[in-house]
Amino acid sequence: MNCERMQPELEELFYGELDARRALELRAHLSGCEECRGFEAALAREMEVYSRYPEVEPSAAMWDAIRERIHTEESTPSPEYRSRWSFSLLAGWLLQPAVLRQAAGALALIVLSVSATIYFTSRRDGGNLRTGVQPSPVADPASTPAPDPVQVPAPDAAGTSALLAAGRPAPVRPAKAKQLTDDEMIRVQVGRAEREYAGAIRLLDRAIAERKQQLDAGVIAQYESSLALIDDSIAKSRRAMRQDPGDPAARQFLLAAYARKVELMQEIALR
Amino acid sequence: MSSGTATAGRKGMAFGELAPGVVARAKDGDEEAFHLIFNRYGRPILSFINHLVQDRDLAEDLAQETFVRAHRNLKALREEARFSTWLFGIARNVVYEASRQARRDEKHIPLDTPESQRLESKDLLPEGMMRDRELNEAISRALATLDDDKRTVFSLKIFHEKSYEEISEITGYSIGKLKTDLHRARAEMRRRIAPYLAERA
Ligand SMILES: [Zn+2]
Repeated sequence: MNCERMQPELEELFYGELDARRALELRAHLSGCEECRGFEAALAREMEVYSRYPEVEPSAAMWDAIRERIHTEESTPSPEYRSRWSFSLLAGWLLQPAVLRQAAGALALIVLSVSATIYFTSRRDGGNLRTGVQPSPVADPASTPAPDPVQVPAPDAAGTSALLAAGRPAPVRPAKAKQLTDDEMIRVQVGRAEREYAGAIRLLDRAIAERKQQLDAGVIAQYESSLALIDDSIAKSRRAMRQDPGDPAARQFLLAAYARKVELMQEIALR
Repeated sequence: MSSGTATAGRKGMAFGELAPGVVARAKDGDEEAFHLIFNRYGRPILSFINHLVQDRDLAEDLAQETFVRAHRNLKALREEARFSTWLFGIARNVVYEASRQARRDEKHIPLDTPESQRLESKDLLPEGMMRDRELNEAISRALATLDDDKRTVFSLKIFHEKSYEEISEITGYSIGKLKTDLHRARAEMRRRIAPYLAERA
């Protein structure tokens, strides 16, 4: 018998997935083959180690949260959020509260600053920009090109609070703008885009807070978990950018994450 | 050696099987019965999801979603005997959906937790426990390096002792694919945890 080829079968012997006849043949071989016995012993040790890998205990709050969501579903027979976010941003636009119209103004500025960032980036990189960033968060998400599946670099261990950092963007000195290199210009524009996103996000946050009472608990739960994912990727991109301010992937991620966040918040604010 | 005994400790550990009729009662809207189901499966489902995403908080959210979805679709479950397989299948779908969604949001799931977060207080532990802990951390890190399909299959077989047939049902993979994935996953895991095993031996 070819011993190396038997390794997968030895594993299957452990799982009890081998048919009886083959299991017998294997055992017969094992009794006369030291090499395979060695492998068998190693497998046994491995299985023992894996069997002691701890399971995760649900938190006390988990059942309560499930129960609450089940009850909410029962009282609202066919929740809308099952059909995924429907995105009709400008529908009924003029009927929206003033705070949302302000948010729209803020969004127009974002389009400008993100476009400027992309312009300077493409100029510096000789036009070879990978346009994973959606320049305008107001566009239909269906037409958004899929972003490059580049991974955000692992977060640094001593990452400072993303929230604190988000409130303190790098100061911009417009008077010196003319002498700035493209690289510095990119940084300035990213900083500006971030501030403008932050402004729009604050406004949308207020609009959502006002609407929260009218929204389905399931919608809010889903919104909050999506928001947490996005905030996490914003935090990671910011950290990556702090480590390497010139990293185009991190910048692209950051802006795309902001765009996604604003989109999500608009969906909720305009529901 | 008798096959199948190597991991027998885990299966019967804290929970027995559900009493007959519990799923049927839950199907009829009995909340107490659904709570029993949660008590029985909350831990394995949460653990399975945590194996896949390697992020405790995210795993809780996704496990919660799994049970809510299970409750919502309970009426569609035909064979009660297959409840566990069905539930793991929902969990797997929830994780893969979240992962697709997160990829659209530029976040990669699963993310590996920074080692520094896991090793924090190891100096305070007795040596034996510390070694166990290091080993488990090595397993977590090794799991995080497997690709999604391999990690899924590995978790279902090694930690949850599902049969090939059940894994195929849960994941939709052919038996051939999952056998290959499983064997490769084991080899990769072995390579990564070998130094820790040698230390213990
Ligand atoms: Zn041999």
